[in-house]
Amino acid sequence: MIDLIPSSIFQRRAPRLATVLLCAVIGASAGSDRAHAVVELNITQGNIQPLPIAIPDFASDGTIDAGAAREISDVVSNDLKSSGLFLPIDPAAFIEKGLDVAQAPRFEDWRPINAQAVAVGRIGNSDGKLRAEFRLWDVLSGKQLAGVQFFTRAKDARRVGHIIADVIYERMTGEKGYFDTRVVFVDESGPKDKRIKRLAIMDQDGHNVRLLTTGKDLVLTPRFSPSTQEITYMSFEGDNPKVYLLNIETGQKEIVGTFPGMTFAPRFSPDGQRIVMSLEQAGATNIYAMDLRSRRTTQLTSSQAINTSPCYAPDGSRIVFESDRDGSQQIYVMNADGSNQRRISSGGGSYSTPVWSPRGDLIAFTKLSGGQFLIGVMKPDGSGERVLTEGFHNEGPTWAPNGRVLMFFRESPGAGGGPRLFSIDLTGYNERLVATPSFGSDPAWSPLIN
Amino acid sequence: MVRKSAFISIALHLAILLWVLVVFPAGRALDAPKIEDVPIDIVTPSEFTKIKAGMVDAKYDAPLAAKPEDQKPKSVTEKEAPKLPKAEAAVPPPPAQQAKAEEPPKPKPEKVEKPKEAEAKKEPLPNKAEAKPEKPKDKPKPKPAPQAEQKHDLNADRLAALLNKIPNAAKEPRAVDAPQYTSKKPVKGQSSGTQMTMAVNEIDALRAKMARCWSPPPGGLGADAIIIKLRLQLNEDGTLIGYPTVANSGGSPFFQAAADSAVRAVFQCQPYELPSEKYAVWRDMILNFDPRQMYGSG
Repeated sequence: MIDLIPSSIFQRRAPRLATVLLCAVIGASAGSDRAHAVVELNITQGNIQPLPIAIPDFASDGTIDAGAAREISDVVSNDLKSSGLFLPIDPAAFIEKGLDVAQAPRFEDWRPINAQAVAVGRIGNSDGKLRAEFRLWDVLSGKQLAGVQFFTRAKDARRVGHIIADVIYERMTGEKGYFDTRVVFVDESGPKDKRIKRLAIMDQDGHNVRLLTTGKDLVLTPRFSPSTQEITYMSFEGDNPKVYLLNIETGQKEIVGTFPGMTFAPRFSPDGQRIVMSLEQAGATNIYAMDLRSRRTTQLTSSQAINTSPCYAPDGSRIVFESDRDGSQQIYVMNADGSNQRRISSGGGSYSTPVWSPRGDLIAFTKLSGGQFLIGVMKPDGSGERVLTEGFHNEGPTWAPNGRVLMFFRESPGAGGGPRLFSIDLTGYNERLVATPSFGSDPAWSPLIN
Repeated sequence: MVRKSAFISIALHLAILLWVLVVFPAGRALDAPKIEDVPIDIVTPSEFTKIKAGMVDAKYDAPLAAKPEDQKPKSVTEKEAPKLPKAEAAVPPPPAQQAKAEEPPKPKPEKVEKPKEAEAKKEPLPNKAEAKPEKPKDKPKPKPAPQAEQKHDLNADRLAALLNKIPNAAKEPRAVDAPQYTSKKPVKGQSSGTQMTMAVNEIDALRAKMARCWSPPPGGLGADAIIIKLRLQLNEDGTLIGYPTVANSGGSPFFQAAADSAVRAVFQCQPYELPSEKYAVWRDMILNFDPRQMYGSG
C-alpha cells in the first residue's frame, strides 16, 4: 500500500538540510489494483507577514447613528493594525459594498484585492444596550471563521470594537487577544525638576484617559492584579511610603500597610491573594510576601544586599527578582517560599526590573550596558537572552496579558525631555509610541477586562 | 666524477620534487564542489514503455485518458456529496451554500462560554439557518436539495462521526481521504505499478512557491511543536480539487490558526505549474507545513 516515510526521519538525519534537500517520498503500491502514489513534501519556509484583512464599516441596524457603528469598526481596524500582525485594507479598494452580517460576502469580490479575511459587523440598540453582531470570513476558502453576538453598555462602544478585535486576533493567530485591556501608568506633568506625578488609567490604545490620584502625593510603581481590576501602588505622603490597593471599577482605596523604612515595588501574586514587595531594614533590602487577607508577612530573602523588584511566575510557584549580592544588579529566581535562590542572568552589564511573562515562557528585564538602557527577554533558566529595544533610557517593561507584546517607558534627554510610553512586539519589531496627554511612565498592563 | 654527477642528479631531482610540491599542493584537486543529489531512476526499456504508456503524449492516450471530466471539481463535488465532510470540502461553491454545509460542524464552544462573562455578555450568533432563512429560497440551485435530503437520512451518530473528520483522518487517512476519482479505471498520466518521481528542481520550485504563499501565524507558546499535515488533490491544470484536508489533529487554537494559514496558502498558490507528464505523481499530495524553523530565533 502507500508507503509514507515520516518526515521526522529526514529531520533526524539532516536537520540543517531539511529546507534544501529533497524530501518527497513516493510510495508505490504492490499488489494493489489501485496504483496510487502520494508525494509528501515538507514546507518549512514561509513568509510571516501582516495578514491583509478587510474591515468594511460596520452597519447600523437603524437604531443607532451610522457614524457610531463606523466608529466601532475603526476601533477594530486600529487595534489590529497596531498589533503589526494585520494589514487592514484601504476601504477605497473594496468592490462589494453594503455587506450584510447575515449573509456571506461575495468572496470573488474580495480575492482580487488580496483580502484574506473579511470582518462584517452590525451594531444596534436594544433595550438601552448596545447590540453587536459580527462574523469573520475566510476569503480563500469561503469558510466562516468566527461569529459572535453580544450586548454591552452604550457607553462601552469602544470596548465593543476591542472585543471584536480580540476575537479576530485570537482566531487568526491562535493566541489570546489583548485589545480589551487597560493600562495604568504614572502621568507626569510640569517642569522636569518639579514634576507632578499622578496615577492614570487608559485603554491600551491610549483612549479614555482617567486620572486616579490628585497629584498631591508622589505615586510610584502601579501594578495590576493579574486576576481582578485592582491595582496596587506606592504613595509617598510626606516621607511615609504606603502601599495602596485600589479597585478601579469602584474607586475604592485601601491601605495595605505602612511599613517602617522604605518599601519598594509591590506586586500581586497570580491569584491576587498575596503581594510580594521589598522592605528596607537596617541597610539591607529583602523580599517579603504578604497575604492580603491575614496581612501576615513572610520574609523570603535574607541577605545584606539589595533584593528587590520581585515578580511571581504565572503559576505562582517561583519568584524572579533582582539583587546586587554578587556585586552588580543581576536577576535571580527562587521558589515562592524563598528556597533555591539562583542567579539566571549571565551577560555583561547590570539587570533590573524582571517581569515574568503571563504565559510563563520568558522574563522581560531592563539592562544597563555600555551606557544604554535596553529592554530584553530571557528564558526563566537565563538562556536565550534577546534585546528588543535599546536607547538612552528604557525602563519598566510590562507584559500584555497574552505575553506577546510589551509596554515600557523611554526617557528622552534634555531639559524638555521626559518619559513616554512605547509598546513593542516580542519579536523586537513594531515599536510604537502610545499616545498619552502628557509624559507618562511606569506602565502596568491589565488582564483582559471581561 | 661519478659522485659529482650523482650529486647533481639527486639535487636536480630534489629541486623538481620541491617544485612539484609547491606548484601542485596535495589534496586540492580532490576538493570538488558539492553537488546536490539528483534522484535518478534506472529503468529498463519495458519499464520505460510502461511509463510512456501513462504519459500525455503516449500512443494509447485515448482509452487511458477517458477521465478528464471526472477530475473536474464539479463532478467530484457531486460524487462526494453523500459524504458530509467532503461536501464541505468541495471547491468553493456559492457562498451561501458553502456556509450552509458548514453550519452544523461549527458549534464554536468558545463562543458559548462567553455569555457567562461579566459586563459584555456575548452570545453565539444565531445559527445562520435561522439568521437567513430566505437565502436558500433566493437561490434555488439544484445542488442544495439532494444535500438536504442526505442530512435527513443520516442518523446523528453517523453524522457526528462524519463531521469529526480530523480524528478520522488521523486514524485512517486513506479511507477518508481516498480521492473518489481514483477508481479502477485508468487515469491519464497514471501508470500502474511504475515509479516516477519529481525532480529536485521541480520540488524546489514548488517549495519556493509555497514559501511565498504561506504566511503562518507569528508564533506563540507551543508553536515550535506544531506541524500541519495537509492533503490536497489537484486537477491536471494545477487547480485544487475540493478542499484540502488537514490529516493530523491538534486541539489548540494555534494549531487551528496554523492549519487555516496552510489552507489559505494552498488556495492562494494555485494553479500549480507542475510537469503534466507527472500528473500521476502530484495529483495527490501531502504537504507538511512545519513552521518551527521560522520560530527558531524566538
